[in-house]
Amino acid sequence: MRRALVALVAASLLAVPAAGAGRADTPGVTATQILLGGTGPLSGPESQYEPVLTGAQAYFAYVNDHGGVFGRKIVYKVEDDSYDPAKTVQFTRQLVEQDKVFAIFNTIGTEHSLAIRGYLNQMQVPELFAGTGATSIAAQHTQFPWTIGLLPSFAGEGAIYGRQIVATKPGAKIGVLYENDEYGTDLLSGLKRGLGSHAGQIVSTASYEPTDVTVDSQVQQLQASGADTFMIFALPTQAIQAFVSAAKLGWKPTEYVTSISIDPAVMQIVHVNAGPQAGVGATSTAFLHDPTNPTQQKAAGVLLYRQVMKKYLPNEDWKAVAHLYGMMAAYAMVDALKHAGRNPTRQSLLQAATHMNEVNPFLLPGLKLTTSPSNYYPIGNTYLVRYLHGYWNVLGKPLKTS
Amino acid sequence: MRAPLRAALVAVAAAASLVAASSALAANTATIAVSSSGAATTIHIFVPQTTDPIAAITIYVPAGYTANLSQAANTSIGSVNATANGHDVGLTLPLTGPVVTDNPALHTADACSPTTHAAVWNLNLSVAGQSIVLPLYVDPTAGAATELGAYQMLICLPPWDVPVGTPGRSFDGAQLLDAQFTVNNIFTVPTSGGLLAWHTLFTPYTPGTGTANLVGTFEARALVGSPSLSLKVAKKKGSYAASGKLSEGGLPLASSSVVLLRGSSATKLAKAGSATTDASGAWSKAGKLTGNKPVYFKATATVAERDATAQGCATPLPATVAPGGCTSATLGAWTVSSPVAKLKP
Repeated sequence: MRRALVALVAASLLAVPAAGAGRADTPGVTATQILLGGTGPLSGPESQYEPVLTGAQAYFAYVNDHGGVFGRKIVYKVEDDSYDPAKTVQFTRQLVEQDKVFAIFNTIGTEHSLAIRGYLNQMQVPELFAGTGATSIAAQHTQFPWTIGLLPSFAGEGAIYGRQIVATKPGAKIGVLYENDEYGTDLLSGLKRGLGSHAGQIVSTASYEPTDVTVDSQVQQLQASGADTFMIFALPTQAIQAFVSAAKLGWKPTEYVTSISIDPAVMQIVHVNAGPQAGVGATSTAFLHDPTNPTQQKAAGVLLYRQVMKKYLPNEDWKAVAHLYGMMAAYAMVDALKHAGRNPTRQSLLQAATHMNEVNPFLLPGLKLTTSPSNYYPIGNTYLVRYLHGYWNVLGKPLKTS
Repeated sequence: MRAPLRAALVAVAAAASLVAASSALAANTATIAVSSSGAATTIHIFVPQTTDPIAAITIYVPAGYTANLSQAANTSIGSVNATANGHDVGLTLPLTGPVVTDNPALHTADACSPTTHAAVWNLNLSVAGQSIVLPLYVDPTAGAATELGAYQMLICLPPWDVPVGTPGRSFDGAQLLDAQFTVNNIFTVPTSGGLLAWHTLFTPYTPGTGTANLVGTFEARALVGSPSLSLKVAKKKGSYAASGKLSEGGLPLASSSVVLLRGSSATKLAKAGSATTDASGAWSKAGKLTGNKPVYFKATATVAERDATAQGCATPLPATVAPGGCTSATLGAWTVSSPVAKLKP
């Protein structure tokens, strides 16, 4: 397996001759370095996403130690936006205009990615692999061609749940908790699309604001509606609160939770607060390997992940899947840089990012990163997963999200 | 004695006359238990949710212990598991991570204890990728503090009950409830008998202020004694009679369960029965013998943490050191095995 790992790495990004000097008119690219920029919550209440950034940095460090991309080291400068879109704009401008980064990579958050999209497209700076699966990012690519997300379509994920309900529980009475932004509303609209003629079986919906302290009242409302199927379209903190609240109410619906909230720690916290049976049997979707899943621990991507974590982030929590997501994003970025050529330009990087057909070891088997000038959802498939026996079990074959 | 602690104790002494044991102080309590297994030492701290927010915990390692503080920076020396109440999210949070040595030179300006320490250990508490790093400062004691122990370990905690947005407030309004950390190959346990007390001072905040309430400082202590389990087996007409004594710190341990193992070799042993110790720590167990091959016996005993406040806090520290008194004493958990005994046919 170790040999396979080495081969995988060698084939994917290394063993290439050093590049010549970068083009003088390409910001962020020198003969020895490629400067990328990014923003995300390194502090504040949403700093749970920090591992997405540190995971990417760790993978770039790994690539650099293996020769970089065409001999250039990747430098990834990350600014702390505290999950405030206004700061995202401020720091992104700083990265582009003062630091003169080659591209913006791995921006955390849908609202945040949208907030900088107009500016970056005006400046023709690639905004690559933003942490969002919002419809507006992918669907408006003709208007904003320099912006590409990375997460599977939120709406497509919602549609999968809708179709699953129709197939397994056609008489379901559905209650939906969703975040009151594009992330939540995309999931809800996708659910309705997937339910098709059964969409009328949504008996209640309740939204929350990310600033809400609890979602208890929303869960009570959904229970009171008579729903027997509970859709949790929420970020991890609110998803935990929703599971716990339902359990404490004695409500035992069929539960679905969005893929954003299936880090192993989510159920761990749910169980600490509501007992070991809370959340068991819940359904979600997954496209990433889970390093804690005993059935995946020998996968090449998990072995590579553990290797990178051990060397570059030895004191951080390797069980946090957000690290692995960050590495998956960084792997995709390295792929794009490699295909952008020995003397990359922003245009050649965009060309590469919109013509991807790449295996990525951090994705579950059978999934690839594919893009085209008309497909701005790099991850177009995902798996249904169910929480049983202490981890999320992969079910069946890949399902289309876009 | 290091400057901050000395300053604290001076302040405590000055304010001692004002203590008058307010009712609020009476509610504050905590427990600490210490156990050793091989080269590992585990320290378990529990703070009830109703206790005022804790600003600092100073643990004194008893005289007789020696500590190896020579590890290079960034060496993983153990692990920590903790539980915190995240007041901002209304959830109990399980936290876990490694204990890693840090370069003391990087901590000379830390607000908690701005001086050069013999060692600094970072307790990395993580949940879902979010990490809280709590430095723990380790030093040999000096001056008056030598009366409390050979080494002191100091940790400061941010307040959770100040308004959201207050600088220095704990993450998610996290209130530490329970922490258990294990360090390996650090402490050498003294072999002398008797129960050794790990005096531990808890200094709370004045609720809602983020200001340390020095006169509210109270003590909890961990009591540690080396366990011993003896075994003697005699043969009597097709049967055996096993007996022995169980002690902790040289003192007999009553009402404890002893498990007797037997088998055909010293390494293939299975449970043969159990017995309970009497007031003198003595136990006995008899059984039948079959066959004409040697039989091997071993006894084991496991005890959990036990409250010993009544006896353990009988002699509290002076009010100048712990104005809030000694609120708990806890005997540590351990497992002990007897030597293997061989009974010839």
